[in-house]
Amino acid sequence: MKNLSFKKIWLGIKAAFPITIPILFGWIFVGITYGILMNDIGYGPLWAMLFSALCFCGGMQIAAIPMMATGFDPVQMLIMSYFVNFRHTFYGLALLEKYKDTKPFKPFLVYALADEPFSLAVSANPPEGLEPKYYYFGMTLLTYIYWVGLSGLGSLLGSIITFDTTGLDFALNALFIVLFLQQWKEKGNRPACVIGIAVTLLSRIAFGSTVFLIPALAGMLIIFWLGRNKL
Amino acid sequence: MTLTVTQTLITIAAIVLGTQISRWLPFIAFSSKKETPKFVLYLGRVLPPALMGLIVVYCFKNTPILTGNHGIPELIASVIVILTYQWKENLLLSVGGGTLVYMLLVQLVF
Repeated sequence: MKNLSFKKIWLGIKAAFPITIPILFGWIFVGITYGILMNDIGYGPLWAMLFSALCFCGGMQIAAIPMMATGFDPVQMLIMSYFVNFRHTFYGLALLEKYKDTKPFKPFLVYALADEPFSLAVSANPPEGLEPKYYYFGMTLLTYIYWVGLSGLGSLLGSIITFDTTGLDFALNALFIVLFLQQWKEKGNRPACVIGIAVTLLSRIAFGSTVFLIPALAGMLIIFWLGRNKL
Repeated sequence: MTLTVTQTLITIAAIVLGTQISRWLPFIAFSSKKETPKFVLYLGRVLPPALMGLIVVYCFKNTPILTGNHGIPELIASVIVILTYQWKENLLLSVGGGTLVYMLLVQLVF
């Protein structure tokens, strides 16, 4: 662990904190929902936190609940979690260069490469004077702590919360829109922005809301292959 | 709990394995020691904006367009996010403002 500065880690966390706030708020509702659903099938707060800490894939964790309530089928679970998270492979491709020199944080950054850390990393603007890897680590660590903490808290407090949180999860949509706009600002990015929106939208219309991501990703790859000398 | 503790732990392991394969694949296939193929570098350039587009569509995947409130709260709140961001370029202001408007709309209006 030489060359590792705790002061820089702390600076990275502090610098990344503001941009992770939308995720904290956005996940309050999702975390509570997850905790309640887990409670319903007999898993308490510690179980919810264990699932979150090890899996760190909200969508799949929620999808796994009805499956676990029906019976034991690890093979189906493995196949499903691979395909539900198939888009993460593309996240990795998109971040190959950015995450190149991130030793010794790389294993953790890749382990926790979910939608939210990915979209923050894409538009990341590390402060001057601080190596970007500390900033990437800070934001990934914070989002990781939020998810693990909120799923435990949700399970614990889910039934006694009186504040109406309906609609709070829109914070994630709003965050993704802003991060998309940051990409859009760069004129050279615009063709790819349009391709991303259009292909995914068409795929959603054509294939329905459960399986559309894989055809969308395949479609994008084909278009990018065809346009490789133009884009 | 339908599953036993052991079965639950195996289930967790299966989810972890499936998820981690999808996350590690590109980093293993294109390790930093070898030179990355040109097409992959090009993908690294065009994929971030395209994937942000994908994620935006993805987070609205269950918004009812033809039924219910026709996604009007989502539309209004999204327009507010976009306009305030073009105006002030402040992430927290746009996210906070848009979310607040959305919550008021779905809780009080629709």
